[in-house]
Amino acid sequence: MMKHNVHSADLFDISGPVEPLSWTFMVNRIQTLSYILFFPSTFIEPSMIWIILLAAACSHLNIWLLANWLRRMDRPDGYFGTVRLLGKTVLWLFSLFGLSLALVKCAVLLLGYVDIVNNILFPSLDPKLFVALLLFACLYLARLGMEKTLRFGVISFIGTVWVVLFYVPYIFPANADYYHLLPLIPERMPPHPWHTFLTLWAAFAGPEYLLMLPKQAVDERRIQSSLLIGNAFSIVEYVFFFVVCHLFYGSQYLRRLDLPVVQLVRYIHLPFAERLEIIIIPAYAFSVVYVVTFLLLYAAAALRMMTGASDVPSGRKWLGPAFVMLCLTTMAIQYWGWANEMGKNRWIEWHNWSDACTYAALPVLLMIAALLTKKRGTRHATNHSPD
Amino acid sequence: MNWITFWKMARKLKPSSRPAPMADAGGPPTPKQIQDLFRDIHDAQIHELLAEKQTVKLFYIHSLVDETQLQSDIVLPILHGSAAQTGRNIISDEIVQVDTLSKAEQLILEGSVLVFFENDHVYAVKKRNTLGRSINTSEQEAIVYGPKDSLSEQLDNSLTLIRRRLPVPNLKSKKFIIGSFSKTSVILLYMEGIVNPELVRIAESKTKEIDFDGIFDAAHVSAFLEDHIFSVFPQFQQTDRPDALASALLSGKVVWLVDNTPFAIVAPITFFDLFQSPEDYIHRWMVGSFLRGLRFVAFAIALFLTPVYVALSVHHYQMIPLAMLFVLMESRSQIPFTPFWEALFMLLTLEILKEASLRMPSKASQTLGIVGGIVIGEASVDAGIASNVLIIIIAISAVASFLIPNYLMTNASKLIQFALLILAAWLGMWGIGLGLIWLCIHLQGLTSLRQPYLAPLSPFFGRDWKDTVIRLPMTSMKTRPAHLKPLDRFRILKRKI
Repeated sequence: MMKHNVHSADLFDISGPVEPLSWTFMVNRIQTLSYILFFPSTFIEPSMIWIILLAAACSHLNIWLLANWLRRMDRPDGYFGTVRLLGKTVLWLFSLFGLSLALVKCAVLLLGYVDIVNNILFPSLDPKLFVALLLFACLYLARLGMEKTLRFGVISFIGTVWVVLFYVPYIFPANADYYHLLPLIPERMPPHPWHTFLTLWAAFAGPEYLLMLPKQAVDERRIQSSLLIGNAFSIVEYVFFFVVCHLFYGSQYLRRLDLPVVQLVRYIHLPFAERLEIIIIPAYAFSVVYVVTFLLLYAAAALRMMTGASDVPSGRKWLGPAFVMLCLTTMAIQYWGWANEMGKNRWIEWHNWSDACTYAALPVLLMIAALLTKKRGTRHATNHSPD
Repeated sequence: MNWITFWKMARKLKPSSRPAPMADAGGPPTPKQIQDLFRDIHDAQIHELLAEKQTVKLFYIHSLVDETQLQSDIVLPILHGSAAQTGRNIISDEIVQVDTLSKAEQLILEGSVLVFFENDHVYAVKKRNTLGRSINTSEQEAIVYGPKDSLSEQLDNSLTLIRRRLPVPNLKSKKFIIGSFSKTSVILLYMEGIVNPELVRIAESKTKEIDFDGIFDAAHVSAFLEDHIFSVFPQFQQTDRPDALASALLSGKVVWLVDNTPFAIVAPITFFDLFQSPEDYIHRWMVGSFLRGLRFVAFAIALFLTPVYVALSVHHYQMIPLAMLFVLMESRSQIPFTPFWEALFMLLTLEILKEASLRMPSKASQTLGIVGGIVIGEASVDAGIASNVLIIIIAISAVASFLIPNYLMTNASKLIQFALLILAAWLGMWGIGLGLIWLCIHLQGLTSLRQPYLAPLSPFFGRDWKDTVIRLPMTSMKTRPAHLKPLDRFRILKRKI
């Protein structure tokens, strides 16, 4: 049978295993996204590199656990498999929880990115315009279904990864002052270490959503290496931008900046162009659209599960309501929460906490699922409808 | 149910516009029935030949039959043969006994001569008029070195050119007659044992489903075969080069030859196929790779250069280095329009000139070129309608668009360029970025014969990259494109397993 059929009957139809590179890029883009643009301002001391490496190691462990779960042949597959494992009520609660998390995460990501666009590129334009255009781009991608959205990861990666090249000159003298990286061993405890860890941990969050993907999307032999390489890419990127910002600014000046990565690129003067942040910021829209679409599809799936309609093929029926809910959530947060800096920070903080919690809960969830699967037996964890 | 489904259902309910099928009375047709059927056709001819002890009648349509062959291969053998041998003397590769009136009608329209013997036996002898062009050089895909022959309007000639290149029984051909009035012959070609059978199945079913009165061109056929009608991108490749077709068949693709058109259709194709030229394989591989890469760069220039100019000069002039900004300001100081209107006006003028030069006779188009050059190059600057910088930008993007080997793709790029221009004027570089994202999503959703259009990028097939943006040496191309899922992956016979 030929794979990659065009007319998928359902949003979640998967014709065959998704290529390893798509998984790698998916993990990488979901973990880096727009955090790259502003995160070094949180990591203002050189010794904080250890916090990055600690969070990265924990994330690597989490991804390893996740990949091992995805490789298991007896893991529950599809709606019925999950119902048999967890029961309808628990699944309904999970769906409700997942739906609200996905919607809020999408809204905060969109608004955070649009904030950067609005502040740096078009201060005079209404940010709602950018939100609307991005939302419609997400809908346009989401209508292609989960399979094609996952594969869009390759395009999203190519659309943004070249940005790193602009920063390479900053790791060499005369731009780089290597003394700025010292001391690596702190003389005193860095301020708010837990908060710093939480921010980065939340940045690494996202791959836990793969837990609910159908079996046929996963190539058991290669999923582990794909996900781990993706996480490793993210670690390299975070460390790279951390080092670059410290080498150029130094920790004293770094703490005064809001968007150090964006401001750094302003110092590049090419013979034919300056102010390269004007190119870099639009490029990050690739990642934003990709990640938000991925979550939007999850929201549609959660809605479908909550209404109990998962047992019948429903095409793209649930995408519309999920999209409307996302629009409403984004508008509500923008109207009530995003009006001032305090409100903004509160939502970002809330988002960080929720992301960090879901990512931290991943091992526990996997353990519970493994125990339940063992208890109820493999034969219950299949995708056959109950008779 | 969406409106497309509704339209399709409504279309099915409409009465058929096809000619009513022939009522077969049973038994072979009589000369009278045939004459009634083809009444009021001035070149429909019936002749009586008095052979030894029997009268033989011939019926044919003069314009469809080769008169010389008719005389030498049918008339003379009948007249000079003995009664017992009359039928056997006819010289032809294709003699069919006709049992029904409808079959007789079909064969006459295909260029056969109906021969009525007194014993009620009716034979159709194919003597089709093969009037048409001889084999010429391809004008659309001309190359400096390499084979020069190209397909012609005669289906058999085109098939011969391909069969000569692939003289193996694996080259299968299936014939379809499509178009309720045009009765166009379409041949589906594929390499058995290489192509994925699922592709052939899809191609066959799509070809059979074509329901239209007249099919006169390969483009008409592809319009009915394509998966997405709301896309500017060509989903089939059209070529008149038999070497390119043979190569496509060996890759695991299918080919449609359409009667009375010199272009064949190839599918499935990817976005990257549209940037390949047969000449890539004639050059040294480094040169071929460079040229192919250059085409992609040229495509990007053709799409983005003018929109980027508008975005920078309207929204992000701070991106332009100071020395360049002075040049731009001086150039634009006398222009009364915004950069968007200036660029739009010049792009439209250029497109009008390009279109006019295509439609005009070749001698007149030279004059047009001079007039266009003066109008674009000098007069518009002198009149203060356009700036010098914009003229250079438009000229570069116009020349860059000519590097795209596929003409349909060149035209598609114009439309995208206009859309990006509007986005650039509205939202600057962010608008262009958004346009690019929309474009990528659109391409991600496209398919050609139900296969992904962006392969081998998305879905990613690492091994296929050896002949995509770059072209590696032929010795390293040991496998066929994996995204086509060919039955036989290897191009080489001696391989390590």
